[in-house]
Amino acid sequence: MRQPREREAILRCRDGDLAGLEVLFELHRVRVLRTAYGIVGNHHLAEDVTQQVFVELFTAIRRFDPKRPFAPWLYRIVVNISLKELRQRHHRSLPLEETAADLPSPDSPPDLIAEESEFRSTIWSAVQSLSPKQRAAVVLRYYHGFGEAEMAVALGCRRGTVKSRLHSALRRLEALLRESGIPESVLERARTATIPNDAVQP
Amino acid sequence: MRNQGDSRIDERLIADALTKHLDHIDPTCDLWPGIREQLSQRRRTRFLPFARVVAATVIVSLLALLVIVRPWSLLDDSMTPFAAVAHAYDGLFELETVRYQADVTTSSGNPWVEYHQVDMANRIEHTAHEAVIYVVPGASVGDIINFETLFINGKLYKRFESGVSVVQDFGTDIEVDESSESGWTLFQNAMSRPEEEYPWAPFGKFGGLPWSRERAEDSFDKVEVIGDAELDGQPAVHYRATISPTRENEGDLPAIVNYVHGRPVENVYRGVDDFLRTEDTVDLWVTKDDNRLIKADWMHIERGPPLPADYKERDWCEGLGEFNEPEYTFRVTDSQGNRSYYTGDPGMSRETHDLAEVICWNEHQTEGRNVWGRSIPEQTGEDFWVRWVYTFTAFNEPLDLPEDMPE
Repeated sequence: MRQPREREAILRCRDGDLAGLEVLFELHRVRVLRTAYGIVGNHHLAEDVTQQVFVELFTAIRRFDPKRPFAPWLYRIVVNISLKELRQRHHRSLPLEETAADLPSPDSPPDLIAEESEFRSTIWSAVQSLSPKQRAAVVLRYYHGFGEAEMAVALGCRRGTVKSRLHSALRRLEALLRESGIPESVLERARTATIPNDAVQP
Repeated sequence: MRNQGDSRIDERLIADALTKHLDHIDPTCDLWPGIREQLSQRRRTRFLPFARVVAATVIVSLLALLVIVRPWSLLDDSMTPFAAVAHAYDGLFELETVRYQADVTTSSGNPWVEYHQVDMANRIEHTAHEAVIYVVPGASVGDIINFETLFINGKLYKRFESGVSVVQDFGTDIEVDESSESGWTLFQNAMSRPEEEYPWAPFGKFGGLPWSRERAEDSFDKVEVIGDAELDGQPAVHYRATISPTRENEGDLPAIVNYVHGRPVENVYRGVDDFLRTEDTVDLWVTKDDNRLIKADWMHIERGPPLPADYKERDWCEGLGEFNEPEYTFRVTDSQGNRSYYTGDPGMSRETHDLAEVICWNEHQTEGRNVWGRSIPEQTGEDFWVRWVYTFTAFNEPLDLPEDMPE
């Protein structure tokens, strides 16, 4: 259902129809916001970025080839604007904000709640310690499940660079997690936990 | 990332943590009115007729003033004044643009050139070459552009290159200033350079600077002088540059060499960042007289144990980096001498599930540019990486394609 709507909205956008942009905004705003947040690490800045993304999208949509996938193109704008904002504001790593994700789920046993929450927070903090470009790569890969080709488009670099950027990001994450002293039991539980396989594309 | 029983964290954990974290992020307010407002502001600014008339008047007046005063007559004859070249900057793709001044001749006679160092494969989605693009107003496909002099960062290089053909007109693929859109042509020169020695040999990705030890030291962890040498009758200094696997980078590792013997080797450069996983050394020879890089050897010859039978193709193919593109063909030979051919990503031998040798070649070899790679799989403990052997000095030697190269 989404794709025909999206396609039609893109075509309308290309004709300068704001209603088309509104449809694209409704379809993508949340994911765009979350992606931007993943990169800039600050909610208000992420909202600013989201607005700029759709403004830029409307301006640039005529350059988009409708025969190509829309998402990588869209997220390229997200990444570019996020990185630009970070550069302009000299924020390499903005203050972390507590989100609902850090809050315990009421259905879990108390000890697990604490451990899982700690584990997620640690990973999130580690991700935020990466460089902005590495963060962008990590978010696209592990939040969106983008493949290398899509990431190359979205990051505006070659596939080899995507690989090496991800590689160095993962190495860095490993080192940070090791340094964080997260209990081995939590890591072990997390390793054996049932996590949907589609979280990571092959 | 492979989970091979070591301490490395599973990628799924990161995906899970990230997803759970980000899935709680929602807009705190309605963002749509702000977008609409920004767009209407842009429109107002853009189409304000009065402002346009004023701007046009100012521009015409300035141009008239320039014609009357002719300030460029004050400059050296060999230099052409820097004109108001329309801006080809694409806000979306952030082209890295360096505008330089060059004395060029085109059939259209417009001397102004802009230089873009971009990755065309991804940014313009055209060819697979990391390319230098020159923007020459008024040029069209088939034109021959002669670069007689070139200024980069204030330095003059004479006879940069000559006779570069316009090979591709990208038309409006890149947004250019509306006022000059019709006259702009972009062309890449990456594969159309003449087979002649350049008078200077740049070092580094930027592709425009002579050898500089300082730059090399920025790029590598260590640069040491091995000693004096003589190459092709020229006195030279032999350097050894080393880069370690721990070097912090974001994939933008230094280009080792862009030119060897004055010939472009961009396609060797491509993929460097993927297999610089272990300590690598490059031997470089620089002329004493004019500081030119004239030779570079970058070689790894290491053989690892055979890949385990249950190892999947993609696991080790990741190490091949850039070479997983269709224009590269691989010949894989296993321990029993069986050969398989792959286009794009090579795989293990289908018969023995191991790998003794991979030879890669690409389309450019058939044009006489000997881009030659030879890789040998290696087990480094937690990953399998494929190491490549490049002997840059072989570039001037006759092409030695495998006899059983497939059509």
